[in-house]
Amino acid sequence: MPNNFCKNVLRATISDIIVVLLFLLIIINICHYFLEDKIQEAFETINFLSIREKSEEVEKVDIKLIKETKKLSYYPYIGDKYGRVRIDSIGVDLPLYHGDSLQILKNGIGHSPESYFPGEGGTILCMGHNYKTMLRNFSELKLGDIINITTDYGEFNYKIYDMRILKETDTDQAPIQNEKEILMIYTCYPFNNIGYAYQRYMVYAELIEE
Amino acid sequence: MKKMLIIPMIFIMLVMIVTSVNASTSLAEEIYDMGNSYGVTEYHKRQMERYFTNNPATDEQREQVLEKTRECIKLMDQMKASDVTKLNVKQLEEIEKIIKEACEVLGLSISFDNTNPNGPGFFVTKNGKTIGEYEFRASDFVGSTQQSSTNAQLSNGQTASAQTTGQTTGQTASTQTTGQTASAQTTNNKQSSSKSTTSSKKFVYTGANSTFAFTSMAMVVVALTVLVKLRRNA
Repeated sequence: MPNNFCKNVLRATISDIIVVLLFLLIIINICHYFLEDKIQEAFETINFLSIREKSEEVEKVDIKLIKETKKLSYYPYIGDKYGRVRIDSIGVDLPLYHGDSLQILKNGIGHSPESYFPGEGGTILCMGHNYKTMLRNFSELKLGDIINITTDYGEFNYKIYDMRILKETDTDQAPIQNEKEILMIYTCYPFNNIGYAYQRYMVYAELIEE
Repeated sequence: MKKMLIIPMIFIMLVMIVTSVNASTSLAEEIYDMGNSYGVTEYHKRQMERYFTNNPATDEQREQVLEKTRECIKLMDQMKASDVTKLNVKQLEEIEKIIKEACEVLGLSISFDNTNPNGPGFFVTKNGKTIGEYEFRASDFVGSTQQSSTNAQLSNGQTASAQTTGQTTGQTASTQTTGQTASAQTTNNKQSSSKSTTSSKKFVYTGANSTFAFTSMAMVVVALTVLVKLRRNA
């Protein structure tokens, strides 16, 4: 008899805990859904502050673009922030980092080390998350829109001439070449995906000579 | 007579200046030429050039690095392998040893991790700065656990290839892939094409992280099931 009573109490307790956990999870999910932007902004602020602290310790190097050879006088290391990407038409203004690791992409736009740097006259392959605060508004881009890259060694404007939805394995659609300066920037597609995204929204832009 | 002396002297000085300026670039070129048929790509060469722009190598370092590269190639030839993915773990370790020695010449630290499939396969650092790292992609590990570990070794092996030739100079391949791609890269190199696709098999994942939502939803489903069962029993 006491055993049954204990079991009943235990059952009641476990079920109560489960109910409480369920409510908690639902509340957390609702908060996560509605406050995604704010949470993202908070993380970005924390990342920005931590990076700024670090960068203050690092000696500032003066980078110059040698026009004759189309080479830089100094190359940023992986993880270094060396510029900003601005797309006024969709309100994007994000820091540009050298490297494409997941850690780097949390902080801003990544630049594939396999590709060339802006000004070197080749393919510049960049990517960013499809968060609301990052590249989710890529759907609003139009042909002819301008992507501006401001680096420590100069400013470059690129005009969008093509946009494509690619499979994640279509890497042949992003050839690394050094004949023409082309900016290719992509994010995961669909933009509001839940779960793993197997497609990428690729934007192609060519350098506007000034 | 004086003019006759001055002109060659100026010429020699110019050659010396140009040689010293291009010394680093030509080292990258030399390593690329040597390792071209062993998996070193245009991309690796570019990375080497970038590294040497920031950190010019001395003549002594240059000789030592070239020596280590030759040593690696000799070893590869002895093993009758044109591709590191064909090496076994023991052979790979021998290559890794030489790579580490070459990195030491340039003051670089290199770490290999053949065990952790989720972490970087290797990473090269100098004075705390990451020169490069290779992150395994989930796609590299499709299949059974056993296959996964083999792939991990192979991936590292290929990494070692880059190290053998290019990485000894401190450059990195942040997106190395499996042996199949390495072979394709080698073929591309032989054609000396200025065009190449990314060495990755896939574009980097840039989607939102839904792990949290998925996990919590799964927990909700499990919790509901348990709850219903408990209520029924009660």
